[in-house]
Amino acid sequence: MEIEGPILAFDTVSKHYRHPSGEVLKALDEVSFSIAAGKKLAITGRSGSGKSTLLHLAAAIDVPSAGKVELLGRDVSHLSDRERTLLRRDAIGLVFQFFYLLPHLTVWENVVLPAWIASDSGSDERAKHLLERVGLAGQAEQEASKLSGGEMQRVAICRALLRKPKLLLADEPTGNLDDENSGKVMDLLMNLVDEEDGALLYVTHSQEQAAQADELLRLHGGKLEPA
Amino acid sequence: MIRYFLRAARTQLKSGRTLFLLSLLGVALGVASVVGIQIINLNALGAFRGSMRAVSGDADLTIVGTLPVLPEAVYPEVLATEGVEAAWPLYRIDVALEDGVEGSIFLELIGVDFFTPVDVPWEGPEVDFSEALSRPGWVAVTPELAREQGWKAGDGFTVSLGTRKAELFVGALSNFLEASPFASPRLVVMDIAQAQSLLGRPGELHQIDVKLREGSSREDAVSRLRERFGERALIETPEQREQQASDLLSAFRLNLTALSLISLFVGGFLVYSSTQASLVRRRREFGLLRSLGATHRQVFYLLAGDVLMLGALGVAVGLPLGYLIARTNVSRVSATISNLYLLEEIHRLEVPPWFFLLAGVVGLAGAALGALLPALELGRKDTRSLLAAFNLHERVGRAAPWLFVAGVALIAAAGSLYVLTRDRWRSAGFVEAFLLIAAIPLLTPLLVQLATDRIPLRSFGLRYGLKGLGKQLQTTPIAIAALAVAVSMVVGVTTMVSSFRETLSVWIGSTIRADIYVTTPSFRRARREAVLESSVLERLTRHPAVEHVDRLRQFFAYSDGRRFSLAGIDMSVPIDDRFALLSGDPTAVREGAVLVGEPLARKAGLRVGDQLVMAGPEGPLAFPIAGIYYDYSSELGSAFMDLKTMERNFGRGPINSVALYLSAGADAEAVVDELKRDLAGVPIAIRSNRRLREEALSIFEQTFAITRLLRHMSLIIAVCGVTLSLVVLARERAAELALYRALGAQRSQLFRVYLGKGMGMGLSGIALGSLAGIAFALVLIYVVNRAFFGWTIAVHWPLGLLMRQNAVIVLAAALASLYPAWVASGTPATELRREDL
Repeated sequence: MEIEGPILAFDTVSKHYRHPSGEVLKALDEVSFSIAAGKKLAITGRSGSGKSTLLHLAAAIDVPSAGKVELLGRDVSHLSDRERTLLRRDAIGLVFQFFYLLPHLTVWENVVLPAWIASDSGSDERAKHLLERVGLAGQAEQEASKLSGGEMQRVAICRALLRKPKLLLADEPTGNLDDENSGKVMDLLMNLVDEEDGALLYVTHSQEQAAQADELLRLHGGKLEPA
Repeated sequence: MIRYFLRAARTQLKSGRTLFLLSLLGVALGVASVVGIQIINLNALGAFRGSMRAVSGDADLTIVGTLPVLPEAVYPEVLATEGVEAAWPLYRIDVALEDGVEGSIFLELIGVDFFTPVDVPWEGPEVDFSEALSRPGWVAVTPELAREQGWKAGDGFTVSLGTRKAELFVGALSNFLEASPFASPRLVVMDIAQAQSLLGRPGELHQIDVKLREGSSREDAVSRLRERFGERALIETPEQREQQASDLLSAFRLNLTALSLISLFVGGFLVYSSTQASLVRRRREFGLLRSLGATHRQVFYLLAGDVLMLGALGVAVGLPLGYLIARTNVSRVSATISNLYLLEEIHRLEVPPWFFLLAGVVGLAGAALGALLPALELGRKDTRSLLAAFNLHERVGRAAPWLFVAGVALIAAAGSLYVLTRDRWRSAGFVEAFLLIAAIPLLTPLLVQLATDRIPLRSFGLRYGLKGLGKQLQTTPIAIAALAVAVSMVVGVTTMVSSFRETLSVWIGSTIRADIYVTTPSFRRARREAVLESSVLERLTRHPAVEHVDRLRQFFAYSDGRRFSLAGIDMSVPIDDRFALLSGDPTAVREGAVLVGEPLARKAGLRVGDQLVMAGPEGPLAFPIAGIYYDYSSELGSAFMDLKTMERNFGRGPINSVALYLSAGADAEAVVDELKRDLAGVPIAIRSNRRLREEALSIFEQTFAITRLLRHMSLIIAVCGVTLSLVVLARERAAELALYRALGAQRSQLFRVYLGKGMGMGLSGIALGSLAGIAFALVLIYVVNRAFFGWTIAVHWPLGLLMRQNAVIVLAAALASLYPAWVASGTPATELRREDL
């Protein structure tokens, strides 16, 4: 599916939460940005600045309180839960800070899980290729819980890329790794995104990693500003 | 800490209402099944004890005849015995109340001598004893019976004993229940001479109650009376009589108790699951409390407090439910006790105060045992490990092989016990069954792991959920084991009942051979006293379609203190294969030998070629045993001899029932109708072969009605266990579910995954439970039944029925997983938090 225009566009997006005390918390406040195919966008910000909320909206996990989130040209606010789920399944890859590999599945099973969810039976070769690409082909049958942190995140990247997503969202992808592994994983992520020609939106604390993006934005108190 | 407990309990109740309610249901149903059965058991024995106390009052000894009546001449001998202060004769017969329905209500008629110190609790105006003695048919009835029948003083009613009828009237009210609350409200008192002349035989007594002189030794009095009467009478203390009834009912009561305990056992799994879930859910809270200075013991008490609260509420709900179960099933159990053991029917349910305490202990102990392992585990954990996420799955996974080995060891122990004890230890069967059932939860984790490991994964749906069972060993094997235990009970008891039914059906086919059976409404209770008068017999044999008449005379005889039914039949009637023989040859019966029923042979250790020794009018009589026959008519035991042999040894006596063989081509139902018309007005029960078979099978179905209820209750608890563990799983694995949603899994897919888990649990429970159920059935059939009831049952596997039951269980498991599947499918992707998956 060829998309004209940006892969993801936030247009004055706000997200408010109501506290049980009645107080309204503005997690995001009139945020606007967009990301085109093949581009990498980094977002930095302190804890509680709204980064996770932004990623949830970008992944169509949640819908904005105001404004418009357009994903592949579709306004997510106008989509049903099922439509948003299918959009996420077919167009988005997610990489998490805590990897979120299923410990009871093998490395291979973790990677092909999105294909199973999508009832896509033709992803075996692709999974094999990705595991070879991240240097874990030899550990395909190993239980995911037995891997090191760096290895886990490499498996998680393979899982995110398996279905060739148009947009890869990464939440602190190296936040749980040591310096040496952080560098390696980040390089791998960048290279793979380049190879796959997808768009990448990632959240990071590290200025060094943020500098690897084509564009860098900073979230502060729910507002987005140039870094 | 108590304040904290109350505060935390409120929060827990709010947040985990479903879990709590499911656990509560499990405990309540477990308690209810135990309470229900124990109330019935208590009242079954209480009914006997109550009637005994109501009739015999504070008598020190009771003398009953072994022939089976005592001649009146014995009475002065009793009075003349040293140490005897007073004695009073009793004439006891069960009569049928003529209400137009065959044998529907029996009255226990007691003939007493009003001038002896019988403690009759009279009610209302003073009793005019002269009227009681002089007016024919004067009886005192209980106020309850009068109310039930709508009688008032002076009202008349008809009773029958055998084909004899007697007109009685309400002369006074006597409330036995006041003196003995368990006593039958159907006790009816009349003058002994009237009872003998109106319904019985003058000169005969059934019982003499004895009051000893103060300070005289009971043992000495018993020895003197035994010396005086020898084999003619049994001298029993009230304790011995009660013990006899208790022994007689012990197998029946023990079986029901064991089955009800299985429900409690299954309920215990639910408590285990819910405590485990609570431990996982609250581990950080407990860790925090520990880091704030709470001791191991305090944290343990918090968890124990939850369990005690669950147990207490379970008891509160289970008690009334148990009472309801007892109430709705008492008539069936009562009929069984009356049919199978010929003991008093249960007319009312009394629950003594101490029983509530017992129920409380059972409920709390059940809940505490269920929670013991998780609570101990909590006690062992240090603060650091409580605060850290811990993975129960891995630990259970590592222990699975060892648990399996322990399970195999239990099965081996059951097998060894069977080989070592055989017939030597009566209760071995229950221990073997318990070991088999206890092995199930130990075998489950590894078997589930091995089975699910082999499932290839290519999609995300039912199969994925199924495979996940082996990966979530902290929760699912417990529910599977609970279900397997319930299924094993269903399979075991269904197979046993079905085998029994099949065996009984074959037995009925081979023993109920005549075309028509004739007896009287009172025969079921009165036996010997229910006489078919010769005029009636004559009219029966006169019917042109009747070719042969097989007469039966029956009374209770005693062999080594053991009461059994002795029947005399006419061996000259040319009918082949009248007995379904286990061993031996019936031809020698014509020459004076006896055939012994299997229960009596097993209990008394008798074999073909041995002698059956019993009390006779002139002293002990010994009869060679020609054969052992299958006998499922009563647990008391029975023996057959030729009528001529009976007359030769016990004197001439009346016939109690007859079997009519019709000429070829005669329509049995039409002959039954003709005989009924001919004998209209005579209290008689005429049944065709077909009707009698149907009645025999319906009595059988009634006998097992309560076991059906118990196994259904276990199953309901187990199905609750499936829901509970899947809800726990959905809660515990919220992050995992959120991940699936984040990766694009639709709600319907998660729904299918959980449905797959539910069905997988159902299938695993069925597979494991069926295997255990087969072993359980064999133990019930070959060990428990033989040891306790003395019945040989041919194994019959009711495959169709079991498959239908299993289909229902899978369906129930699938239904049980709908709610958790709905909960799981509603997990939003935003639930993905910083938790370990």
